Amino acid sequence: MRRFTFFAVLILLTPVITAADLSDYLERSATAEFQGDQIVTCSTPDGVRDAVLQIVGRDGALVVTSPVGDGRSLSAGAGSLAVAGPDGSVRSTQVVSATDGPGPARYAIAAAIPGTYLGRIVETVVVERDGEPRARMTFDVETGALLRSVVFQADERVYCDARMVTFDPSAPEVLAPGSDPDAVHVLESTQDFDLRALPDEVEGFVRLDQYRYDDSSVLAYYSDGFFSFTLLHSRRPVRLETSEALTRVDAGGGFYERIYGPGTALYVWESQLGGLAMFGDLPPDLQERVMAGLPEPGQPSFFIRWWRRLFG
Amino acid sequence: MSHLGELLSAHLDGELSPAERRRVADHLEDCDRCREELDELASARSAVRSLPMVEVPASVLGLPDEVVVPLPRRKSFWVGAAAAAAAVFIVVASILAPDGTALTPQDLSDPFGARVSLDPGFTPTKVAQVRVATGDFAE
Repeated sequence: MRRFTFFAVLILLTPVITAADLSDYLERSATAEFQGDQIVTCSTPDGVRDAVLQIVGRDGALVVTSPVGDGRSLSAGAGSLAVAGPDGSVRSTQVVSATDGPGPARYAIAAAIPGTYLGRIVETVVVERDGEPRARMTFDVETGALLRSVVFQADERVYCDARMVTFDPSAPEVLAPGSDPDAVHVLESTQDFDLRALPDEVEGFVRLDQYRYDDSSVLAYYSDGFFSFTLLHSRRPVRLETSEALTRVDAGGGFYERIYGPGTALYVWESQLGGLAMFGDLPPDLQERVMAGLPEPGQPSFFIRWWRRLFG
Repeated sequence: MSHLGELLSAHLDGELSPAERRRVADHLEDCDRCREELDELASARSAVRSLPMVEVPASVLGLPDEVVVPLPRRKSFWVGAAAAAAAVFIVVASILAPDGTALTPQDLSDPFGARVSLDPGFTPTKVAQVRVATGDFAE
């Protein structure tokens, strides 16, 4: 009986243990079915950012709800993200015609360590970028779900720790937020736009897609195979409307406005080429390197600003 | 005996000092030649002064034959009205035009969450952070 159990476990573990690279773990995790509670804690240059979330994975989509917020929930998967407000309203974004494939493969798994977490058999992998450890990820062996993700800065200090504190491999029947066809923001791929402000590649992040955002703006998506960000370029000046506190970051001839969330950062700035905004999940040291490779902040002349305000 | 020469012309022009005038007068009493010369000079001056004034041709002075100096023209009413309307439009448009594109954090995080859901690296951590960062789930 013992021998049977051993072989049964071995057979169960085999698909994971033989996973050759990071994409295998991530692809399996993306389709995992489970439910649980997650705590996110991040140490950012602007202070600690944290959150408590309830997460359900089912049918290749994720439904996320905040038990401490105002009851909003979101559903994401297959290029769609829908946010349901407490009043029942739903706002959706749909991406069409995205680049297939994982993008650049700069990351390698340096170690795969078996263990247990929350009473589950897990495997923990250390993810390296150019030889530097950038993340430690713990996957549930049975479901492939990601149970814990620790992201490091370049000096190996912890930037973010997102960990499940409860985990149930049986996903409930969940109703994802529906969508109001009139409230769907469809992002279609475009080549018909001035892309001077959107480099093909910056610090190992490759521009995979670009979408027409509105009449005067284009939105590009960059990935280095693990971290990613979107970069919006508008011919008009860009300003941020939020009740959150903005941090003003001086950068030579101009400045950025920045908001840190638990695991994400948002930058908005004015450049000689127009308004720019970046949103992504990069750790701070990678943010700095990427920002240094993008159009630098600076105020255009009065006439140019005036012209852009009027005509874009 | 020296004659008066250039002093005669100065004498006619009244440019001599009293001493010179006396000397010229004494000399003229005794010198027929200088009296005749004085009469000729006086006649010549009278003749020149009687000539009409003639305008010097511009070509003699090396100037263009005709210099056209534009006179201020009275602008048409409609040109002025159009300029005023354009000025009013610019001022009003500058006041009414929004001071750039207003973005909310959601405007940026929603497309990120939608696009990242197509990536192999799509994980709960990625998409959950999207909303948290926007404040939707903040306490």
